Amino acid sequence: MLGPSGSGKTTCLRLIAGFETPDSGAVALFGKDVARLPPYERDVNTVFQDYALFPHLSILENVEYGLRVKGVAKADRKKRALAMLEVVRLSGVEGRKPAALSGGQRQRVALARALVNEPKVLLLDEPLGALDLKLREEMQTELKALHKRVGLTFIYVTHDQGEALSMSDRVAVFSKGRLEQIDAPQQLYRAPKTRFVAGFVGSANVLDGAALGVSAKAAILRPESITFSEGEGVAGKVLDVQFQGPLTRIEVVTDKLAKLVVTTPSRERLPAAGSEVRLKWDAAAVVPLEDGA
Amino acid sequence: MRAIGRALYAHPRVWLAVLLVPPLVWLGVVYLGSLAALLAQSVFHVDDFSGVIVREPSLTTYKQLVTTPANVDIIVRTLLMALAVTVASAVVAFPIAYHAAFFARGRAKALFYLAVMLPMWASYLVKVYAWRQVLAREGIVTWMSEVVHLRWLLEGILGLPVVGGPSLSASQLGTFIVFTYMWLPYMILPIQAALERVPPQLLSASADLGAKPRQTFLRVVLPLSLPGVIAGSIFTFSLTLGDYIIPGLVGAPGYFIGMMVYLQQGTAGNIPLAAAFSVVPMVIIGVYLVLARRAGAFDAL
Repeated sequence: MLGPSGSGKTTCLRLIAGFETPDSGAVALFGKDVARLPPYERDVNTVFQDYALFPHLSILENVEYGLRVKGVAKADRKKRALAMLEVVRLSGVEGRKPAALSGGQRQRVALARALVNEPKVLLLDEPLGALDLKLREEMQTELKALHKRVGLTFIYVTHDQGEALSMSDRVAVFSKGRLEQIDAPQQLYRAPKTRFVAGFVGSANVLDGAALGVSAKAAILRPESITFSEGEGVAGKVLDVQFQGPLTRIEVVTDKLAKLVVTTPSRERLPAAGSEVRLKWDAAAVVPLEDGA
Repeated sequence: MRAIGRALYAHPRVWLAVLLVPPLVWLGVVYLGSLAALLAQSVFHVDDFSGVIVREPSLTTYKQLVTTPANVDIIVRTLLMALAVTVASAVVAFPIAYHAAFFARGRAKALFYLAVMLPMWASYLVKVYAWRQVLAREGIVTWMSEVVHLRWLLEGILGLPVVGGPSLSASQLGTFIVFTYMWLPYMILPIQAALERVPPQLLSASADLGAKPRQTFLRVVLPLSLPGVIAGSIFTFSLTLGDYIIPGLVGAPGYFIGMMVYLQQGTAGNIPLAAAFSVVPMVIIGVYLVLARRAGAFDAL
């Protein structure tokens, strides 16, 4: 579930977990409506944003917690907790307290604590939000591998579109409490249905449909599908050039289509601000939007 | 003025010394000094024949303290009362603090603070005298018990050995009620502070992992609030151990440690014994803290 802060994605997660009850509608978990069940009677487990590990319990006791409150025998729950700590590659720290672990390690404990209960669905609320960039990338890869190993449904909340696109089979985009679109990542990027999705997943030039020659009221053109042309094309004047590392972002004011943003691999020879250029693109790169407006 | 300011700015150590010396003098000389003087007094003793204080270190006074049955009685009575008051305060305070920490918001919370603090604005003596009237044989409690036809219950309770007596205001039970009332705010506030610090996320996590509300309370809320309970119990415990007014005004005959300190250093003029008596609460609290620490009460801090 992807969306900016305040878009309702965490509320949606809390509805599934049972921390909130819906005013109307149902929460179906494998066909069974669980909307009126308290959290402790639902077969889902959550990895919280700040991990919410119990500070007074050791790592082992934290992981055992779910089994313990369900009355699993001591030897059995210890065995399962230790096995799960091994799955998240965190053996040897079971005697410590959460405060003695690093952010990445706590993250793994939170995962193990949820997974050891063998939930039907694992909910993750911005689980990597508190980690620094490097660690976040590592954990993304690891989470994906873990997902394959345990074979559960993961519902993952994030506001980071890159994370959503790279980790998901399907992405649900939220805006202002509404579900805008739910699709596979590639489909979402290639064929956004609404203006919001187009702008939030990647960046897009939203243009008047008629000017681009499509029947829809509005259409989008991705900045990377526009190229500079020597011969014919839409004429314009370069307004601004921003070097962004591997890519350079260039704003061009055209006569026909107002302002266009173009991203192009950073090369030595790029148009300078103020110069006259011509732009061209494939007709297939123009994607009409459903909501138009 | 400006020159002094600049000089102090240039020499931060001097400035620090200026700031720290007065409180250190207070703490070192007035507070720790008097404590040391007290301890010193307790190793002197009063000569039985002449009644003069012998200023030679010995354990005579302590021996007198622990071998005289009357003194041991006083220590045991005070200790049991302090324990009972502490347990009762914790039991009464916890639900109040719990409600205030997790449910009260806005105006209700302000009202809660007012309700807890307001009694502390009234004079301690006035409150004790008021309780004496409330608990007296002719007082409102007796009257109320007749109105609701429970006089037999009141008489039954007063008929119990040890805690009973001719009336509530002349029984150990009465002393216990007044002590508990008096120290309750000192128990509520630390518990509430500890509960406020429990992240709500942890309660969600516990429920999410399948714990029923009762399990969440026992396994998460209670252990995390334990430092608050301990802090509150240190207040109620030590306040009860040291008080000499309440048992003098409300309750059965029989001295408490505080009263003995008052009597021995006043009318009896046995300052060494008074000092030895006042060392007892310090030792008890010290032992209590060590035990609490061993039990892991401060692990969640």
